[in-house]
Amino acid sequence: MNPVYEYIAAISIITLVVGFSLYQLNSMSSYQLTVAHEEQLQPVAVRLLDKILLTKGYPEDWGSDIYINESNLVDFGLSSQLGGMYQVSVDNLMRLVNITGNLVNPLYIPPTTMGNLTGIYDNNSWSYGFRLLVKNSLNISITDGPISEKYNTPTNFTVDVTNYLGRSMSNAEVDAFYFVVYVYNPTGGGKEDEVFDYSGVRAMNITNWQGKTILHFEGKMPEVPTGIKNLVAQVYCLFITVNYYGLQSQQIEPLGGDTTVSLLIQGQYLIANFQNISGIPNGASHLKITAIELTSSQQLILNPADNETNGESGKLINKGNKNLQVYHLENPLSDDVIAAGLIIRRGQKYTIVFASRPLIPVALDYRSHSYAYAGINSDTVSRLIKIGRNSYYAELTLWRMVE
Amino acid sequence: MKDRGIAAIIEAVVSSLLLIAAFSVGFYLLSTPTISHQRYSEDLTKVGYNLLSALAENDGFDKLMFDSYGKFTVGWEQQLKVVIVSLLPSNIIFNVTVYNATLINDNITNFVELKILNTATVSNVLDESGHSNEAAFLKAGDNAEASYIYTTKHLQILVISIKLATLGGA
Repeated sequence: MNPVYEYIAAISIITLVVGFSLYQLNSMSSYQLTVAHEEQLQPVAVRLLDKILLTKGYPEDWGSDIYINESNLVDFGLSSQLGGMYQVSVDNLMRLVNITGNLVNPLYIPPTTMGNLTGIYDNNSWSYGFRLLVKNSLNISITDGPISEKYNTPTNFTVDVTNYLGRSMSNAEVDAFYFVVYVYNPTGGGKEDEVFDYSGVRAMNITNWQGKTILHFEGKMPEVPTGIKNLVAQVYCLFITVNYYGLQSQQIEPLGGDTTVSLLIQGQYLIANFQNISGIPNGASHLKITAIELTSSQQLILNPADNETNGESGKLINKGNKNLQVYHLENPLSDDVIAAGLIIRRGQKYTIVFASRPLIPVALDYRSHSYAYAGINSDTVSRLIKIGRNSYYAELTLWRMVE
Repeated sequence: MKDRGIAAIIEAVVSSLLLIAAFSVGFYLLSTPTISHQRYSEDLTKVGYNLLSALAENDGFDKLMFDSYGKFTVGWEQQLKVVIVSLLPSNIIFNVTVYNATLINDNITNFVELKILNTATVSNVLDESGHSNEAAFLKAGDNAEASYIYTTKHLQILVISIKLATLGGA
């Protein structure tokens, strides 16, 4: 073979070898960097969720202090001041709820503030998008049985329990408190002299393999005590607690009533708002401003509210200039209080309306964008958290805004 | 002369093939990322601790394992398995070991003895003999372990250890 061709062949081979080697080395390093770049999303998500759930924020009572707003909140965190690990403050959580029904939360902390304080939002742009979803660990669905002619309310209820993954929960303890709130007029005077009280009964059962059970109250219905003078009205309400080996959720169902009033609890304040519902006349509603509070330890507490106005005007809600009322509850609400309700009279009809805290069944859907456009470049981490004795499932989805 | 030239070309081709093969093997060996294992393990450890902590609240383990007299209920291992299966996503495998912690004082040293309490395996991956399938954990992408110390209503101290792995790799 001609030495020239030999040299050409040898140089070609060497060039091929060196070229291929360089290509391989280059692609190897860039592949490693790509992997590292993608993988770091999860540690960021874990750190952000830890920051949200395991730190209190500053000032530490920012959830219950109405003077703390988006401009003077120094640090963000939802952890309870008193509780243990993954114990969340309900006051802090409720500050992240924007709208309930048609009621806009005046103390709302927007996601941009949270983003600023956690370092994922800067100079009007998000470096990471997020969605924080908090929901009941156990989803309780109640189906009313037939209405009893004697009591004009159901005497049995079918309860269906699933968990946060949608699985049916067999062997869950279902504990129900069925109570009647009765309004009466002991002096026989006008409407302003009416007072109310309650009486209730308990029933318990275990869910079957399908996660279902029936609660029977036949023969032991809650009744107005004998000797009550001038009974005006009675309203029934079912309060259900489900416990599945430590995981606990609760559900409240006022029976037989509709109302044009929606409620929201913020710290020690109860905000009532007129709600226009089609099919219900827009008449004024009169409120009994003593809150009926339900706790995660299945207690019922009566908590009076302060009425700063003269006469009855502060107890009135209508479509006009009294469409929003804010009541200061006399006693501070502990994290154990999961709902506060008010008795409402429209004409001669009485109903009861509850505001739960946090909201049921989705406690919070807090997000940087109205929709997630992360696609597959997102990561989701989740934890079980507690508020009072109740358990909730918290899920954080994080995505990178700039690749 | 001509034969020597051909031999040199063959030699060069073979050596270059060897070089290419060496680089290819090196590439595949080096490119296996270890970062993903570290990152998921951190979250998985927290998931394990969070699960045990949630069950420990409101006397969950007491209800699961003991009767009202503080005696183990029959089949508590199966019940514990059912509960953990219902609370974890289906792509996570687990193996739980429950130890009884006892302080041993033999006048020379004090130490805590851990004695395994579960006679049946509490796992969602079992081998043919009914034991936890360790091969499944080895094949899984990420492994993590978390422990929780739990004092029962009857003041028995348990150490509950959960081993978790994610199926399908990182």
